[in-house]
Amino acid sequence: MIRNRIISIISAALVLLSLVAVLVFRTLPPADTEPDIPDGPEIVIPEGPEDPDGPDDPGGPEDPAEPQTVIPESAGAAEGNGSGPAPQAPELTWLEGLDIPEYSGKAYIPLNGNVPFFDTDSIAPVSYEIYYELDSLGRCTLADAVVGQDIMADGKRGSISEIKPTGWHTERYSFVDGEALYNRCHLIAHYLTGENANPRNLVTGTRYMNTAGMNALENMVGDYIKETGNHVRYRVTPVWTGDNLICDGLLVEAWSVEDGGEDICFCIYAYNVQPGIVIDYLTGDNYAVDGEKPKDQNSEPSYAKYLLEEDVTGTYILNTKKKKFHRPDCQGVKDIAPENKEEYTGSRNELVEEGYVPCGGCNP
Amino acid sequence: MKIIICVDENLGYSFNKRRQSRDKTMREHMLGVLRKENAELFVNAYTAKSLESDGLLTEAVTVVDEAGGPEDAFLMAAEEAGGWAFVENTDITGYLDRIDEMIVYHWNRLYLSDLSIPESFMKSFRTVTKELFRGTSHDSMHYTRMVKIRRRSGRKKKSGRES
Repeated sequence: MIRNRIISIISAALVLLSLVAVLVFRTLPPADTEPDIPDGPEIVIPEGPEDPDGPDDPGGPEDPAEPQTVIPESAGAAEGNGSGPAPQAPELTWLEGLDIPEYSGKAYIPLNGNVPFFDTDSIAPVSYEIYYELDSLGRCTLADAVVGQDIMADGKRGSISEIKPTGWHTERYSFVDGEALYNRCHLIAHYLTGENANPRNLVTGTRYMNTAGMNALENMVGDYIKETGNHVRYRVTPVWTGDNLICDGLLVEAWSVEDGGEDICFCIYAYNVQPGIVIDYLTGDNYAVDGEKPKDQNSEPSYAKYLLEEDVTGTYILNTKKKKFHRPDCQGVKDIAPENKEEYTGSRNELVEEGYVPCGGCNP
Repeated sequence: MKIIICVDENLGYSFNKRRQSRDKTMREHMLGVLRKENAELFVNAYTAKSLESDGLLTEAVTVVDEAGGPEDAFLMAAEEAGGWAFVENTDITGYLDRIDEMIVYHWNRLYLSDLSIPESFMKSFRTVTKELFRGTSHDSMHYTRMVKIRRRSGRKKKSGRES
């Protein structure tokens, strides 16, 4: 009896030991795997790169995109919601002595002969994105990326309304498209890198700069990458004067990597102005040239009729061009061009406040 | 003279001596239209390079390498041969008065531009054919064939001061 019991106990112990051994084996990495990445900001350098020219391409010195470069050490250390540590911006030497003409009716102008200030000879076709640390006044400093299809937005975006960039005001004017003078303006557009509410990537920008300036160049870069599968080095530097809380404008440099700048090559300054409005760049205060008072903050905005008394959170399909939102199962969704379609999950009222109008058909 | 051109929402067609955008399906569409008419296409070296990368540089395309010569050499060659010129990065301001037929592809997007077609010029054409199609990276593009509106020369107005 006792002998049988001992045998049972030993058998049970052996089974237990085997189980533990299996568990331990499955948990430990094999000896040749990469070491674990310590806790901290999410790394955003994607796996790869795969050879963009295929395995048979011998490359050669005439290949303008022969990868020789190194990805910046800080690449990947600054994505996410901005709560983690981010690299300090390098010295912005390319802004030194920059001669920016006064705004004269055009939303953007080329600078430096429309050629980026960064070195274009040694850019590797490998995607990364870096959003540098805010300065001592809490202002954005620099966003830098090599954008490829692997890091472009997948069509889904979230709310960014919790971010209040420096100088943020909420004045509305009847003659401004969408009424709101200021937008939360991405340095690197959501379309390009899928960044949402990252405070290191959002400045207070006028509606005019956002639409007439930044949208045009973001479309150009994003559509090129979609068409060719190539990469674009893309760097955005806000230009600040003194301790101003509103930036003067954004310097945007872009260069298509694989074709050596053949299709995309520019160095653009987008003015942070709004025709018809005078802005105090130190504080963000503003007034209309013609004396029109901003709409009373307590007055009902034109979109008030679409607001719900009790806000709800849901998933909606946006038509970013027509500024309309739908239920995901709405018949109208299939007619939205993919480049204008975004899936949004978040507050319904925030969408309305951004100027989105609910679809009359599905009544979301 | 006949040109093919791609424009954005502001009728812009080029920026910094480069095309605003490209789309392989749009180019196949263009070559298909010309093939049906057995028409010849003239391009400059810049356009030829990208057609080649798309595998679309066929015998129906004549490349006029402007190296060392005027940048509008392909426009002049097209005009002389009665063929079509595909304009991507060349200023056509000096040619506007000579264009009597156009194929216009609309990107239906806003891009950067420093060259654009004047709206008044577009209004001097009438649409013959219009078609909506899906591009490779542009989901909705318009193809529009246009011809110059010919003003019929009517009787001369009577002058109030007839002698």
